[in-house]
Amino acid sequence: MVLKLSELMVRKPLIHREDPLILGLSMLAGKDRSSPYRVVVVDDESRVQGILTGRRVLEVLTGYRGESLWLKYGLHGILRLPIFLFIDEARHIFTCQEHPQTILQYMSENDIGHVIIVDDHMSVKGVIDEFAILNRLRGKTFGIKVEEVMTRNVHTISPNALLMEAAKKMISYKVRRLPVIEHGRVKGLITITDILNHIMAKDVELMRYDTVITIENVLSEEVRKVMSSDVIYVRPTDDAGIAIDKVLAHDISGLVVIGSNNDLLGIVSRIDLVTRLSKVLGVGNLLGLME
Amino acid sequence: MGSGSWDIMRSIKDYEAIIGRDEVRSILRLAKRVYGAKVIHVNATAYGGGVAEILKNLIPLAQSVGLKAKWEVIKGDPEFFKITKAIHNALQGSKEIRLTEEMKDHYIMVAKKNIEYLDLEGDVVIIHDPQPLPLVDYRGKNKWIWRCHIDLSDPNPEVWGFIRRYVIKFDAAVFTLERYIPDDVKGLIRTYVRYPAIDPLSDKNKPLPTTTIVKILERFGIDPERPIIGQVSRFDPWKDPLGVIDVYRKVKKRIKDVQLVMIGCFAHDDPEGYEWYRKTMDYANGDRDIHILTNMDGVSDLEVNAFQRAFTVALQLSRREGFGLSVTEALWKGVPVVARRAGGIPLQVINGVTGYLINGIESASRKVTLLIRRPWLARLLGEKGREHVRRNFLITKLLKDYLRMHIDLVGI
Repeated sequence: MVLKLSELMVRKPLIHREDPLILGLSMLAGKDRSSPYRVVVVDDESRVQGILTGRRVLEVLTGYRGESLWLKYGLHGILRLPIFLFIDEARHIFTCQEHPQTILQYMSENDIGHVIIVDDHMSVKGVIDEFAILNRLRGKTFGIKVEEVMTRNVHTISPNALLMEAAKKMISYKVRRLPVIEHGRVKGLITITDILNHIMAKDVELMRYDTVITIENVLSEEVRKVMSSDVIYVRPTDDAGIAIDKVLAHDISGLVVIGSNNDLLGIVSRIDLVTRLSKVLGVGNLLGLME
Repeated sequence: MGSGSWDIMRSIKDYEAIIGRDEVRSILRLAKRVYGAKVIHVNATAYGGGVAEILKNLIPLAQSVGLKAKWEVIKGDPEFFKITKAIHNALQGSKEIRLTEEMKDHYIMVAKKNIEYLDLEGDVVIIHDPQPLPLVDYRGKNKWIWRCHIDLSDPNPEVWGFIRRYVIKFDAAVFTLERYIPDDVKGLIRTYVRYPAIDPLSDKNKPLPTTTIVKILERFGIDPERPIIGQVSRFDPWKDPLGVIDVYRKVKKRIKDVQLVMIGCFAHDDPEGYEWYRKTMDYANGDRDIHILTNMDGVSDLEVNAFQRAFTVALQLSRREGFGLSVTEALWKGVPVVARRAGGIPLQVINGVTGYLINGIESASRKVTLLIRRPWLARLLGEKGREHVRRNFLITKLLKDYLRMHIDLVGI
């Protein structure tokens, strides 16, 4: 069986440019936890307008422009502003005629987590992302250890740090998650999704108060109150297939890698799994496993 | 010198046929949010190299959507450019380079002198590459961005330490690839990753009639009937010009009538260029089928355009590359590219789809031979390459990137 491009495409994450930000955030940080990393923003004719990511939203809300937005609209108003004010330029655009191997090779060579698939009129047909690819690799064994594909240089945060610090760290280091470390041990994990969910919860909570709200107010909780303590982990010697199955079973974006003394050794994300497995195995072989 | 000059009148509407009306509308909507903002780009040369190429086209385009865009070029003596070239090489990985205190003082002093000539009173000031960096010491309350076009993934630590002290005074820095962002600036300033782009309507990239192409080739003694391979890049060890000749020689053993065209230019800020041009000429050893041409031979944008359109295969053997805009240019002209995996090249050359990524001279020569012998394959890869560039690496996308950055810094 030869894998078709359409079999790899995810059609779900599309949103209109005029939709309110809160709708985009609910897609990025939905309760079902199978949320995409990014949502493609389109116009009336489904043409690509840009990409909405959680990191981009945090980048705007904590940046220079954020200062004027908070002052002018407050949290409630900001969440109801149109999405196009928060998007980033769409990149990595391919057409439906492309072969899956081309896409996988491009993602692997450039460590990219997604490509957007359009037709000849630039109307979005779908997205191929790391989650869609991993879905085709469920239940497989690769003979490759997690330590061969994990990221070793991990940025962490203390449980006592404020959410604002966590958000800034995620923006600066361009990561989606930070292991929470106390006394050298992993106490939890905080992700961009957790912060977005917190912002949306604050919207409901703060609506009752007639005060000027700033991003500092909204992200003033300690990390320990928002992090998930139920950390899903893998061991460095586990097969990469175990990591893939755990990511899929728990619908999460990445796993911490913990050594025998419960010390943090690294992180393995969906993107790591796709791009590094295809480098180690070869794109053709990985594609063979997906068919 | 003072300001960069250009004689291009460009309107965003001119691009409708290439990118579509909706994309143009989307650019105008973005531009409206920073309408009238004064944006000043500063670099070190008005001619030669990718940055000048981008600014020459970007500035009029930005003006056409309502920005008060301006291009300033710093002045310096030959000593200054020798130092900045050393800095450039060190940042790109040369570990043996040492900057003496005198060199550092001269670099700072020249930059400081430029304050007298340059207009830096924009809402946003964008400094390109390391040459004008010390200007940031004299910044006002306006927003300053450093656009780094070079590969900073493995810099000379001592030189980077010296440069970093300026970089962290900016509001934001823009890099070409994620891995170029030094760890020790993260968290101190905002960082962006943005790709450069080419202008499809510039003299270098606009469509040319075949008769013009043939005339230009004949003017330089190149036979349009025989296969041509070529590389367009500065004469610089990082671009491996001698490797290009090695590939040609290997191909020549299999395809006797192949010709090689190497095109470079002597940029104002590149004092090493002539030395490497000489080395390349010597290495070519008088081979009549090797054509090494520069701006000094009367090769300007239009000629480069014609040569690239005539290439059967384009080479880009760079060992280090920021992004590789020459690759983008060749792909846009429907020419397949055989290239090393350097910098942003793998974003453009998709192995077996828009060209071939190679590891050495031998594999490069095999792929070049394959493409010369199978014109249908070269055509297929070329077409794919052109569409890939249209969707991802045209100047209209770059303009949108800049507009979004300006909005982030001074808009709402």
